[in-house]
Amino acid sequence: MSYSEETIRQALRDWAKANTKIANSSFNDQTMLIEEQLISSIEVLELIMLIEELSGKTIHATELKLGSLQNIDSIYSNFFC
Amino acid sequence: MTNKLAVQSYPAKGKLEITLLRFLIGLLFSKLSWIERRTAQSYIQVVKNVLNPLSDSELKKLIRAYNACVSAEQYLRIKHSTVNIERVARLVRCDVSSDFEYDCQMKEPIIILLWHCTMSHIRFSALHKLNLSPLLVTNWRSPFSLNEQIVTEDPISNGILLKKSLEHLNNNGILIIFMDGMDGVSSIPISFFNRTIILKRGPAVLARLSKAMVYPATNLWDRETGEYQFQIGAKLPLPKASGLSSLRWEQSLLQTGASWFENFFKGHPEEIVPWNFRYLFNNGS
Repeated sequence: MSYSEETIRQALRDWAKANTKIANSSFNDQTMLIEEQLISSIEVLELIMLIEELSGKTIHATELKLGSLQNIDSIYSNFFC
Repeated sequence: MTNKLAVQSYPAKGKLEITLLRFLIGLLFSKLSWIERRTAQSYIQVVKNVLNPLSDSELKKLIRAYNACVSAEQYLRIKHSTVNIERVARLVRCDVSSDFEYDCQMKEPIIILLWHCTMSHIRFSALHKLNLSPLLVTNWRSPFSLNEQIVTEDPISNGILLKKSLEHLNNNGILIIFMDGMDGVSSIPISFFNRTIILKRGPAVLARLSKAMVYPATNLWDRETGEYQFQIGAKLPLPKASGLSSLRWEQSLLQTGASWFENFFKGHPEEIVPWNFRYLFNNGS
């Protein structure tokens, strides 16, 4: 089952708001999850698993690059386009 | 099980130089460590805190033993770092629980939980002897290990390494990880020697997601006979999933594991590593 771009982005936003330290009002698709240290290693793992669920594809750790998880824009372009 | 380990070997050319270099690095490490632990005071304080009450004569005996052992341990570490791992492996007796053997034969995903003890490098020789090739999660690349090691760094790299660890377990692999690791920010309070300490969630998260079997393991160094023993204990009972949040499930598993190690240290206080206990107690309450 494939989701629309907006559904995917909204699911990622909801996850980020619920699971990271960011204040809801300042969060957008360009907010740097990593550089601002808003995310712990376990949250990174959960984020990868969410991306797998939304994309319907298995993501192998060896294929992951640090930059691909920077923000919602980069996640969408790296895993859903 | 197939042995994927390659025996450590250096080309003849430069072998002497590499051995000498390792010896010098070991000597430097030993020197720094000796300055830090020049007296047994640190150890005594930890043991007093943990094993109170001990009689004065028991404490004195422990202090004498500790002072002698610090020197011996540093010497042996250097010695072991300069010889072939198979020679060290011959010195190690492996004591493995029957359910661990069974799960290995069934190729179940397995997490081996460790806690820092003295002579900890012996475990790598033991794993070699057992023909196990687990993936080792560590915060520094050990020169004693021939196993594949993934070294923790920043949260993002750590997250990717957790994913790699999970894939390894989902492929029915064996993962070896320290319970008392110091890296990472996601943590859970548990009770240890009647105190609250903070443990990292990583091992429990991996157990929850992979449904792996979890075994505690430790090593013993008999100071009188000089024998090393590597023990893999009985399988830890996993918390019942129903009615527990993920966090409570992880907390329950970490508590079970910590209680296992608490019992071990009560029986073998000579295996306590002071810096590690100090860190845990200082970060708890």
